Amino acid sequence: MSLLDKDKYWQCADEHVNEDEHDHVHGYDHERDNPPPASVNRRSFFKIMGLSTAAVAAAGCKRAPVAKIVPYLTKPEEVTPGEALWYASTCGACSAACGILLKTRDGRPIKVEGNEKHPASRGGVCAMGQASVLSLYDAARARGPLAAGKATTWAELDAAVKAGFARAAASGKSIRVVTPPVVGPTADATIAAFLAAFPTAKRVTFDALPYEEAIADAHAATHGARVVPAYNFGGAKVVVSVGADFLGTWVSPVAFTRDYAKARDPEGVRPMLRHIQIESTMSLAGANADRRYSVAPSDEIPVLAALARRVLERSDVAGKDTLLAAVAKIGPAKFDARSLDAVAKEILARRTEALVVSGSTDVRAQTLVNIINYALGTTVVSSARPLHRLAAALSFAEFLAELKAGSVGAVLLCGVNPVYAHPDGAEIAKALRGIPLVVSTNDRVDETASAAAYLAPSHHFLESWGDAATALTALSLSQPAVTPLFDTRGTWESLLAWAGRSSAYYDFMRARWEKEVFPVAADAGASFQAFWDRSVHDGVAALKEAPEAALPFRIDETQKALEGIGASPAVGGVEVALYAKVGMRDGALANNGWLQELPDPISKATWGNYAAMSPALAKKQGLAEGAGVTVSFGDRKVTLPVLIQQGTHENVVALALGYGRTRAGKVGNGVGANAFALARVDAGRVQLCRPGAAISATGAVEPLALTQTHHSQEKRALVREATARPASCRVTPRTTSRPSARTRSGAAARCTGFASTVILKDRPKTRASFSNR
Amino acid sequence: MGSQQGYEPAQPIAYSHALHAGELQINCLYCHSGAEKSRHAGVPSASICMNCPAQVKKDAPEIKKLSAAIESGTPIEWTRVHRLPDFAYFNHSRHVAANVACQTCHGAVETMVRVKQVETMTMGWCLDCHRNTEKETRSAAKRIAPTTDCSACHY
Ligand code: SF4
Repeated sequence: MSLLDKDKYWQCADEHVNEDEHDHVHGYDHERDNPPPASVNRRSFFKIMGLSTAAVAAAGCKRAPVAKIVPYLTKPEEVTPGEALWYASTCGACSAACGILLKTRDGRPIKVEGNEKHPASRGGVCAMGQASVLSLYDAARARGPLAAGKATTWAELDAAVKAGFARAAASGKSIRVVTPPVVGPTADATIAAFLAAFPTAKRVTFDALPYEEAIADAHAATHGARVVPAYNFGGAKVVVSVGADFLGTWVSPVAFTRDYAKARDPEGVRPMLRHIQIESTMSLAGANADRRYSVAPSDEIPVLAALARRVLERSDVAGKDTLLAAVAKIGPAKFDARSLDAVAKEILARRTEALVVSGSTDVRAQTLVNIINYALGTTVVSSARPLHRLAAALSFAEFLAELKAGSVGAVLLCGVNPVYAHPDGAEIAKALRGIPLVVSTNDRVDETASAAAYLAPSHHFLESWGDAATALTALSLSQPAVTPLFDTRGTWESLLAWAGRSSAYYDFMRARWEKEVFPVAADAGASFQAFWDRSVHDGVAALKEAPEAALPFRIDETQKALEGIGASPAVGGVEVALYAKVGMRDGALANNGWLQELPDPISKATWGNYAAMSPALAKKQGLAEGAGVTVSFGDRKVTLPVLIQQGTHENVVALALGYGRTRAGKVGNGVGANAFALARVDAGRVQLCRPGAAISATGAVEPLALTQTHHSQEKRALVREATARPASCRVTPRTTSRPSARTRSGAAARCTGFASTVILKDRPKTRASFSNR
Repeated sequence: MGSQQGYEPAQPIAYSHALHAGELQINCLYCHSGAEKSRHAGVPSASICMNCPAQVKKDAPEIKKLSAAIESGTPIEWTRVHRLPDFAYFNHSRHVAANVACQTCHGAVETMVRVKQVETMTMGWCLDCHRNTEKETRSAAKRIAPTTDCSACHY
């Protein structure tokens, strides 16, 4: 008999099903694996002790090794050996650009913490931000510029690259600068300066996880501005997320988590934010939801359309009938209509304080989201004061068409890795090899950079200057916290050099701040120098609140954007859902051992990805956890072990992206499989879900490295259950198996495990103090 | 490793504490300024050393070693005398703030031509002081109660 009620608390599904608390599920049994030493009696104990004491005594006769103290020749003024120095900067590991504080010792960054002065992230940093400091010291980083794989000097590289650009320009061929969509305002200005220097040059954006681009393109249609709006999770009373893991990976997870946590504080002064999650794979957001529904990815658009119809019918916004007609063309959802009614009722009850978001990479899904939010008249999404404004650029699909047509003379790849992170990566690599000049500023010879003739390696973000916009109400600033470790040069510095600008990037940035930021800064003060010093010190600069008129909703364009979606095609087979995993996302930091080792907050898996499926699907396919499966679409296939994940839709196999790198470095290479290969390309856009997969067992079994069943209670009542009563709170440890109405769902129990040692059955109305009797 | 009591290694430059701290009465903290602010007392940078002898005794052979180091840009590698094991945390600034004299742990450095470890610097020796200080200062105006918690030094 176990100590806690198995219906309520269990660490893994097997433990729930099989009465006994056991470690054996994942191959570990404490008693079996830690046998007591074969009878040690008092005498043999002293014998052993005597031996080891003698060994210590013998070692003790030796002198400690000689150690050196090497003081500075001339000590930098601000350095005191032994004392840490902190610098404010901005995290560069994703587009959210959270504010960070960087701890340095003896001139070496050693720890990332959150910057509380940052208006969006407010002291938070995610796992990737935390781990990014290790990537600074990554041995796989390029040590200096390379030409055709051989070391060269910056002067030689610059001369060759400049000549290449000139040749491309002279022959009338185009130059393409491929960057991520969000790089920061000064970097945008640098790219503009480069494009101005070469008339045939244009910018192309590549987003490995293209949901931000989908959101921006939907807004371009519905609001006439290519923006990712600002979402106010803190101000919302109800949130409906259709597949957006806004607490784990979506858009700006740290800032959203901050807002969300505040809005869901049970002791807060306002009613708690209600959260409904409709998703196909179990996510961090889904695990926190009040109500969670599972949906097939192919059903997401019909579900959003059905919600849009319900909301439009109950509202009287301009263009209501046109929009209703457009939405009505979308086929019916397979999703249960009564549940949809319930969801619609909840958001209609809150109207302006309701927020609907979608994690889809499909522009049409995002357009439907915009229609719903428009019909609700929600005030918690702002496209007038957006989170990101995406610069005008060619889409990656257009760029690929150009590459194939042979009209491109030179390609500059700035921190993007499409050869890895695009389903047609191999083709892209081939096409790039046919271009006369390909330069990459990636930090290592990765999958894409190895198809480039020149590598102009960029700094790590902790070695560079830079800035980032935060919801247009503040700018976040990056400063180097260490002298570049290797012979590298910042991407934007290289761009300036090739554009023929003689100024260093630091001077360029400062000059731009003086001209453009200083005049619009809130409490700028009289002198620019003082303002600059303060901004660098704080890591952020607040901007004046300029009232911006709301953008009108464009009915006709919206209607057009929805054209062409019919009923979802009836494709047999299983649906594949590709998702970004907390701590790995697009795989750019795959060579970071801390991130590989980090257990996923949901599956608790480390080192590599897996084919996650529901117990029902696994049973149907006759698969057990760890069984190898091949998931394929024709000749595109990925082979991975099965992980049984409660909460996954019954017809879905979920695969995390970011694994299966081949040229990330020693740590990341060959860990897991590259699931980008299975992405669908629809009218040039990469879509992360795809129906019609074939699944076949390989017969091999590969044990997964899961931490889920670590920290077993070893049959002791470590987890105490108690009822917290207001004021005079007494906590009684209870190990009975009284059935409770508040049974946690299996999925949630899997993802939380036994994180805390006291489980509160009722939410306390006041802060309670506990005493264990 | 055993006690390093009595350890008195030769240094790359025959710097004499007896001359500087003893005869010339230069305050310890003038050179080891980190002791007030940091866990490490610190060894002064070569440029700090050059502040004085550059004016005084430029041609002495030992001082020439110093100027040569600065000219060639090669830092001086002093041999460490006092060393606590890595698993023990020690912070100079807390002890200086509590008015513990440098000599309590380092001995009469101002009399040493070559620095030598005088005390055992073992855990028992640390604890002796931590246990007795409170008794000694109990009646004094400023009471110091050093911790004897394991986790104060080992964590
Ligand atoms: S969300 Fe994480 S990775 Fe992205 S900027 Fe913030 S801390 Fe960095």
